[in-house]
Amino acid sequence: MNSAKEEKLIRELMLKSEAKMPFADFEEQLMQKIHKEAITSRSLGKEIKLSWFFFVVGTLFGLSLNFIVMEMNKTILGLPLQRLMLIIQALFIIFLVFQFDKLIALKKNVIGHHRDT
Amino acid sequence: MDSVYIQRVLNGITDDFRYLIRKYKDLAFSVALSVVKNEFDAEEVVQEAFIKAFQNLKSFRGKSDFKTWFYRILVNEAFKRIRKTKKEMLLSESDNVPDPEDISDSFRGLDEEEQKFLVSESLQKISPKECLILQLFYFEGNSLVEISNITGWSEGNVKVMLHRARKHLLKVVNAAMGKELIIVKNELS
Repeated sequence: MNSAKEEKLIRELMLKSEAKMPFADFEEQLMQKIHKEAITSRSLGKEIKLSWFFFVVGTLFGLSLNFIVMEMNKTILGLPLQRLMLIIQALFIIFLVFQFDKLIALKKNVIGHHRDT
Repeated sequence: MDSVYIQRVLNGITDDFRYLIRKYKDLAFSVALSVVKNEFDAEEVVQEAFIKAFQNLKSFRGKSDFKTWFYRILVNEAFKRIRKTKKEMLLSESDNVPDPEDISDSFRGLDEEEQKFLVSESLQKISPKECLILQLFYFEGNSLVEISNITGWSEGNVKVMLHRARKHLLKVVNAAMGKELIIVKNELS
């Protein structure tokens, strides 16, 4: 019996706890932020896609250039071109890994930004 | 109805997000306020929750309703905020639970504004978790399962906390009511 009365009283009390958003400009301010967020999100997505596109194009271009140069039997400053190419290939791979890592980090940052903000 | 607007927002009509803001801002404000206990913090929490909901709208699969999904974000944001400000609540456990009938009679004797003030003051004095549970259960009419989904706490835990929250609120209201009566007596004499 007491429990039912308690339940009724709590319900009565909680009905008086209604709080309305007291800031009149809340909706407008928030919508401005939402629009800004939508624009940022769209442009970020575009930039990430472009980054991947140029990464793939650059990698393919570099690989083809490697194969073409490897076919040539020329010397530069007395050194055979094929030996020089080994150094260039090593640098190319380091650059490739570095760029790939940057792209992955960028993607993770974007997801993290969406989770945190 | 929510799903129609969510789909429109996902299709690029960003302005339709306004519908969700209008529909949930007041309820969300009440929930946030019950946890952070400060209007300015509550406003920021609601704003952050809406922005986060917008950013992650693609991941909303519609398995639960939007309200539950959004409230989960809101509650996380609110608790994140009190962890940041390191607010701690001091609660007295010693007093006995007062008789609801006594409180009820005195409470009904107050006018509407006094009642609202008394309840809001009392809710400020109970812990964020308890206040949140009371708000979700009694004011918003959520079931224990829904509260469990929103908060991530087990159903059993929610039940225990709800019971404890009821007792706490009655104690705090009773204490506040005593002060109120003293003020009225002083004004009369």
